[in-house]
Amino acid sequence: MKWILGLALSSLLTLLMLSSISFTQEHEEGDKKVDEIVEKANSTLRKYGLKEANVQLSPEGRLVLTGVFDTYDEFLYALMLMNIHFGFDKIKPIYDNRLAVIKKTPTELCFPYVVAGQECPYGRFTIQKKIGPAEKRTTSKKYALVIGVYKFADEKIPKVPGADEDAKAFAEYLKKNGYETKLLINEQATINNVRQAISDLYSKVQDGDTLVVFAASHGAPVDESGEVGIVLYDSGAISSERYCKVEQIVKDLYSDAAIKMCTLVKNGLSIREHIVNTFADKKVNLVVLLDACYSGDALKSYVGLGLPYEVATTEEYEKALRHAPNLGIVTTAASGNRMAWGGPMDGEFRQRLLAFSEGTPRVIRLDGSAALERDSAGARAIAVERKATAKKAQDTNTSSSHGVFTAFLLEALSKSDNSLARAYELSKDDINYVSEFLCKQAQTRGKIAKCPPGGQNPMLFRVRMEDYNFGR
Amino acid sequence: MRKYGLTLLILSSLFSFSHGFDALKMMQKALEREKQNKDGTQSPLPFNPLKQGNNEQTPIDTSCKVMLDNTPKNSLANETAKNVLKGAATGAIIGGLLSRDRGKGAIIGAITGAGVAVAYSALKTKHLQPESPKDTAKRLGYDPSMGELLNFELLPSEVKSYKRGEYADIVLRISLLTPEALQKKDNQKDELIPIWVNSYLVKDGGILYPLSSESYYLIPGTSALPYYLPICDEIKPGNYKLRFQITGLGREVSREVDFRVSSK
Repeated sequence: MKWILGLALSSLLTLLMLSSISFTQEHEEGDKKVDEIVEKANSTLRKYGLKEANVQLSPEGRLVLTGVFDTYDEFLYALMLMNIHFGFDKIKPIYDNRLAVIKKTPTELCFPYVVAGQECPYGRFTIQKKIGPAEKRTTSKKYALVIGVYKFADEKIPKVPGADEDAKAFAEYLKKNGYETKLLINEQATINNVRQAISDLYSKVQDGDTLVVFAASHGAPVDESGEVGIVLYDSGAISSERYCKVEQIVKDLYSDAAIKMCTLVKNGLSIREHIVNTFADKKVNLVVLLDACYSGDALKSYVGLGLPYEVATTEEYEKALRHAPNLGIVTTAASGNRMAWGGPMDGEFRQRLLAFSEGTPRVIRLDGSAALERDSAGARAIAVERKATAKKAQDTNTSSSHGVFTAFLLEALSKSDNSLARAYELSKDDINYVSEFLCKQAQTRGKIAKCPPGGQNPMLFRVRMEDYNFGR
Repeated sequence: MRKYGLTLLILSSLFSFSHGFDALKMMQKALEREKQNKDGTQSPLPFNPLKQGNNEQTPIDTSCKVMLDNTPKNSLANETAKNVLKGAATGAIIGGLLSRDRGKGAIIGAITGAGVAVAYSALKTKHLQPESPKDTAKRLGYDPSMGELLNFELLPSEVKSYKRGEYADIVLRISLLTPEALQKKDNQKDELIPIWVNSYLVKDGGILYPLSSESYYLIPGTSALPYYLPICDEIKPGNYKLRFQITGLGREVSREVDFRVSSK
């Protein structure tokens, strides 16, 4: 009996030992893999100049950034690098003060400047508010701020053909529909003038009023999270060298976003900060329309997973934007990773362009150069008109083009009883088709390396309004 | 045992002394920077590098740039580790001096000192420690039927006074709760919530002078955002009021903090 028990016990012990050895081996292999990932992550951070940043594994199995970061932007940059190398699922994109330190926040940097009555060079411009009771009205009013910038104080910033004309056309449309409209174009659209206009509007608007904000210009990131702002007349463009370096490794994957992140704008108009946040304490109906490159990312910080190269879907934006106080409806010319196109959109050109596309199979039509060869008569007509428009623009030193988005949206508004959502639905296919055509033309001329398929991809977010009617 | 204890005693004494040189190092660094500026090898500082009245220099550089570069901010993990080392060192010295068997005393002292330091760190940094969604819900009396919740505490709650060269340490303890967060299982990923912190300097007449706007991603529960505002050369003596406005989860909460900057 004893030997049976002994045998059973020793077998059990052997089994336990064997299983523990195999468990330990698996565990060691797992640990080794984790160590390798952590080591690779740390060497990547060093390679890109983040000397005091590190990663460690969180209990839920994701990498967490630890160490010292000079600014929060640097923290975001580290997140972007980790994301590129290991994928978003492997990274926990939060700042955890138990493990990481951000040495200088914008508040700390700006405090001495603002106390001294100086403009803070580290902050974006914000609107000063005076707290006090507003005069009460019983009827609601309609206000609009319309901005269009074709040329810039810094001549190194390329012109935006048609941005001023778009602003004029949209302001005219709004005035006809009873809006008290403030129009700022080109030299008028300086940071101080825009700031003053927003401050004036803030003191005028009351609960129940409608505020329409339209802006046409360049779109560029206002910070390193990739949130896009509108470039104003005297905004500064900063070449973000480190993102351009990152572009080297991501050009095939995220080319558009990397190009976007190469240039940041200083003192641009932030839709979230200067419009949404400024009017957050007023119960206004806020309607925003943006005709700018990457404008789909103008409110991207409302989306929880917003890193520089990530673009959320309309549904994701709508879900996230429920956190935006008072935002009614937003229409943007392009998604966050696409450029918005413009050209001589007036009259005959557009008719010819659309007629040119008719009857041609889409698959060939989308290949710009091939389409031009197939229908040389149409192509010649477009080329002649483009030259004439360019000459006219040169002669008058003004922009005579239009943004594809604004031109088609305005036309669609007249056909859809001034309903924004309906006009968007009516115009989006034309916008995509024409923008892709213009991109392909630019590609043929060697001005752009690659055209993403499908055009500039305009977006519409319904946040607190299913639709908005400009005429009512 | 005695030999090891004495070595520990010597090492801990050296560690304590080395910390005493920190201020001197900072001053030396500031003076070097000032010299470099005069040589034209570095770009000028945005604020006065050193106060020079009657050809005399102030002993420590309190220019805004130098103070911002030398912020005393530290992560909680590093802070605790530093305190444990300091505690162990001090404990070893005291233990070694008080005990007849110096080696044994130093070791016991070091262990006790480290233990006390851990407890002290936990107590001192309690306001900086995060809190789980469950603990936050319990503290705030939150019920999932209330929907999403955003709230924050602004510390210190009393008016504190600071001198030039010090940092006004302000902490935002931000609580974010969603019904889903309370039901989250341990193996599920944390929900990420974007928040925006707008900060303003409030001047006479209630006019808000914007300092900045920052955005962060936080997880549900309570998280701390520490700020160390430099009371540097440009900050004149007087009373100051700051307003912090936090937007997130479709809500907006504002709180104000007052502090005083004394002339001495």
